Amino acid sequence: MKAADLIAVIPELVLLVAACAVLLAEAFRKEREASSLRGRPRRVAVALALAGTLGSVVASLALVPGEARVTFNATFVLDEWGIFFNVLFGVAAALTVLLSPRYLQAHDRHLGEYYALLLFTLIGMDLLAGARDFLVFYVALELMAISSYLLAAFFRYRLRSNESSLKYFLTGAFASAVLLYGISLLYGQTGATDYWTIGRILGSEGAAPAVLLSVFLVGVGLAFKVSAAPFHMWTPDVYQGAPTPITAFFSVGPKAAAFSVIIAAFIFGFGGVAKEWSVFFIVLGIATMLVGNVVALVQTNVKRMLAYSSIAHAGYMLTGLAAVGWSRDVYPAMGVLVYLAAYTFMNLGAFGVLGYLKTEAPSSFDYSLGRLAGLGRRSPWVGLLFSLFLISLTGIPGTAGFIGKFWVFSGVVLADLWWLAVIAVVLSAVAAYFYLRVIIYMFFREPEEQLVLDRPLRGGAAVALAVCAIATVVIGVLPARLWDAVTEVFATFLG
Amino acid sequence: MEGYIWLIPVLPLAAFVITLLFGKWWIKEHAHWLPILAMAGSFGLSLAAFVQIRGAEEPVVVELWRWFSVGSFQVPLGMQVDQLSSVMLLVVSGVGLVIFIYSKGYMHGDTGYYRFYAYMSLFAFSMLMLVLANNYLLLYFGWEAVGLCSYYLIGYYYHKPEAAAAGKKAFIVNRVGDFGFGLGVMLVFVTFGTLDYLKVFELAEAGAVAETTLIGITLLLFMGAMGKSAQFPLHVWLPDAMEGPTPVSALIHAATMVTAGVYMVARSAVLFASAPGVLLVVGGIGTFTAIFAAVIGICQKDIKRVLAYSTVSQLGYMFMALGVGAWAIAIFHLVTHAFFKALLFLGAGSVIHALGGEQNMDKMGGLRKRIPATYYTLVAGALALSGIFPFAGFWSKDDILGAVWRDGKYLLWAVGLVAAFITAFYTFRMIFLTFFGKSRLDEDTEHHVHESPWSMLVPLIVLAVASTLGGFLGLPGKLGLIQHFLEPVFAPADHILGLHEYSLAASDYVLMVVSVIVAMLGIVLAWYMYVRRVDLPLKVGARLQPAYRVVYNKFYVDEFYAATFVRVAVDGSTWVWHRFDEAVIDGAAHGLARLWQVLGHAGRRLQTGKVQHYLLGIFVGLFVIVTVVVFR
Repeated sequence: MKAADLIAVIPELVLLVAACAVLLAEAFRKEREASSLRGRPRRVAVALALAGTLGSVVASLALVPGEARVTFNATFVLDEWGIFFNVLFGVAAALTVLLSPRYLQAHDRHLGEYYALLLFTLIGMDLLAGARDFLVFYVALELMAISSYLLAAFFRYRLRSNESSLKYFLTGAFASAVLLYGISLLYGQTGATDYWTIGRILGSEGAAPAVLLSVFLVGVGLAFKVSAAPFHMWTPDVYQGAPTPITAFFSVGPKAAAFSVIIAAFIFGFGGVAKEWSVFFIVLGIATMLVGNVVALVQTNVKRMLAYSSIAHAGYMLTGLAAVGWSRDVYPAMGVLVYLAAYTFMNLGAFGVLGYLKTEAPSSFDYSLGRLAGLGRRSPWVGLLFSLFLISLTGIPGTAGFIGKFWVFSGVVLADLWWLAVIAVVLSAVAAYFYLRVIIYMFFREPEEQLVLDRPLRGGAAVALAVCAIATVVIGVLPARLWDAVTEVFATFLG
Repeated sequence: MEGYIWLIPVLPLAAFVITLLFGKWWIKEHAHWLPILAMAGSFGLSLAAFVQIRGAEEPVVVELWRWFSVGSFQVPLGMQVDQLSSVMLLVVSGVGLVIFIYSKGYMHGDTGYYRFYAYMSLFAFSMLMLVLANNYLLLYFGWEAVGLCSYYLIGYYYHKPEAAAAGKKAFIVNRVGDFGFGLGVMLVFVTFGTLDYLKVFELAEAGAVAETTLIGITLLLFMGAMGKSAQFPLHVWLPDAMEGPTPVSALIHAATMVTAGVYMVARSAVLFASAPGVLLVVGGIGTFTAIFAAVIGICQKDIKRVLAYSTVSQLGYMFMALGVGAWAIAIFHLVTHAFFKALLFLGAGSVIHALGGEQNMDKMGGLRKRIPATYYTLVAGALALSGIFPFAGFWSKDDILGAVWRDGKYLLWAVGLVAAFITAFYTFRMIFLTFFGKSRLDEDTEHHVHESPWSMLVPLIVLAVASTLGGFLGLPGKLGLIQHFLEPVFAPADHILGLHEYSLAASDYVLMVVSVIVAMLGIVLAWYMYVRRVDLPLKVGARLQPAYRVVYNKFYVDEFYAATFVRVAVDGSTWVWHRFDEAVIDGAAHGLARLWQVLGHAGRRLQTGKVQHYLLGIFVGLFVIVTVVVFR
């Protein structure tokens, strides 16, 4: 390892320093009365976490390379691709940091470790996007996953949070085992762990059962991470039980990271059997859209409904992946990247609003649909914000959600999978029911009992939600800039 | 110019957003400042663009951003400034500015003051977008947006049922035209593979497209123009649109929006020139509308309705000009008409304002001395509309008749001349009924008659000057500034039609003299009937009772529509509603909803909450995959 190798991981190093600094600052904090401190603001930790996430974003942008930085024996690459994801993850994490403090204070559980864990998760995600080797990829995945388990359990005195974490851990461990088994089979057949070598050797072997078996085992492991049906069943329980800002983060960050690694590994490593894994993703995609949308219809808990909705969105993106393999063209993958960016902001926003409501009415707000009745008239701004995110999730033109769907589905159509696009569009029409129903409740239903909010939307949460709202609208109205960025990413991605 | 073009529409848009958001609580009765400043800014920038584009051979095209593109279908937001659009920019922002200032006085104290200015600003934005568009899609956007604003503003007094009904009528009648227009735009895309003006015209010029296709395209586009510019048989909405506030009638239903159809046909001159048969249709419908609406105008009692029918009739003249390929002259008439018709409407508004809302001319009379400023400016507008030398309308109308004559369409010329006679007659009938004779005012209004405030009079004076002198922009023949200015835009279309620049001949002077004499005769007849022998109108009316009744009832066009189209549509939709919508569609929708609900509950049951079941799910998935891989 040379010192120059480290340049490519500067964003991750920045995060590492910030995470350690948060831990140290917390350790040296004067504890006056341990129990009462948990409801206090932790300005230092929040500031360090923000500085770390934004610092990694800035560092990534400053590192825009003329050529890809290939380091650590070609196991890790920082190119436009990596930078795109570093920025996306960094922004998502920064928004999560902004959404968290008041929520944690309201639940008397405001500890600095929270931010450190968030930063560790982020490091894992950044490494995942840049990994070009199955071992690096696996280690990064576990870094991300283990930190996530801890974050899910952050309210450890609450049953739901414990349940969430334990289920996440057990199913995650199972999925990791499947994934590792796939990787070991790959190594057995090729004697290599990096994408390119595997791709070259598998490419000459064709669709032998052993090859397909290993590819699909890896596929199942990752399908678990993006919560694709039938490997999705942990998702609603984990999302519902975890602290809401963490749920918001789970629904966009680790999921996007898993998508980044699927695209990279499957294009580079498994390009030889593209048709086969395309069929795999088609089946998963249809099942995922079906399960996500259909079960979301009957949910009365909005947080859980959004969990199913995030399953459905993974399904839409999977159709894009399927199109990549089917047409052996990256055009649909560009759509997936646009979708990820759009989805990050609108989903963070939607969960963020729920987090705000829970913060200001910790005892009376139980995430049920009925409690939202009349909210639009009592707090019009909050109602409008939530409506914007829901409309975007529905995919109405003028919002980011439409642009994401539009490009993914147009990629699917151009790959001659028009029937798949039809299924996806029909199912997203079904989705309109449960998104718009929330808006109807907020604006047109009389509440049985008025939801009393302690404070109006202020501070970090307000900033975060405003950023999400602006990004949702701007991507919806002026998507050309994002599209150009994604085009650039893919111009260098294939080398 | 590339740097600031976008600001021209964006300034009114910003004014709209701010006024709408903050008008109700904060800006309130100061709502006029921002829109007026925005319009002034747009006007200044339009002037700059006008100066810069003068004499340029190629249009300036600015692509602001691209919304998205799939394959060959692109949705760009591009603006194009050439001589044609710069003239339109000046008309829209200039007349708009004057009318905005006028509205400050006219709308003062209205409860929805800020709402009025907000919608007017939105209209200005949409109209400027319409003329700045560089492709048919954006044109279509502007086209629909101005229609929407028109709908809002006609129904501005929404608590009045007539106003609400008029807004609805305007919207629905325009849908008929826009249906054709939309199809036309789609056909353009299918045929040319692009919606960009420059590319479309280039391909059309090169003769790359069969004439039958072009006939289809131009007929469909013209259908849109008929709706927007209120040409027979889609003219019925415009007179009812007078339910809106008078500044709205002046800006939208006289000076700008209704001329969008004329602009669009002129913009597509290359397409229309390549389909001469359609040009004949355009000219024919225009001419018929010109005389048809003029005849109805004779019998109207409401001062604004007279002007509304006059607008329909004058728009007919513009299409008459387009029909003989006199594109520049049509635009010239559009400009002068914008001046004098805006003046007439604002003047009428001033009269209405003075009389506290009275619009019936039977209850006016003798106002000459009492509101002199309004009187003199209104007479200037009336002279311009009648086509008396040297007022603006004389030059433009005479140019049109001259162009029709030169083209050999003598029948159209004759009809146009008769219409000019009627125009002069009904215009001065309106003047004499309003300002001359004995006062027929109600007791209470009698005392309240007052001259309008300066914010209303200054716009009147500005427009009166423009209506008096504006005609010198377009002297006939080689002297015409505006014709020369617009030449780069229309040269390709003229080339297709084989039109050349012409020199004035003796016949042209004869024609001018003839048309002035005809107009004078109309005025004299009006004077004789409404000032000299006031008993005459009633006698004539009684003698010609059946004819009078037909004209007074606007040839029963509305009744005809109500008995046919509206009836069929309503009955048909009712049938469809019960038999098809409720039974089939609703049945299917409810059935589907039930199906999804059932599925949802079934899916929910799978979610037991037990980790072992989740792991079993993963395992089953794996098992299926492995089985398929091994045994496929």
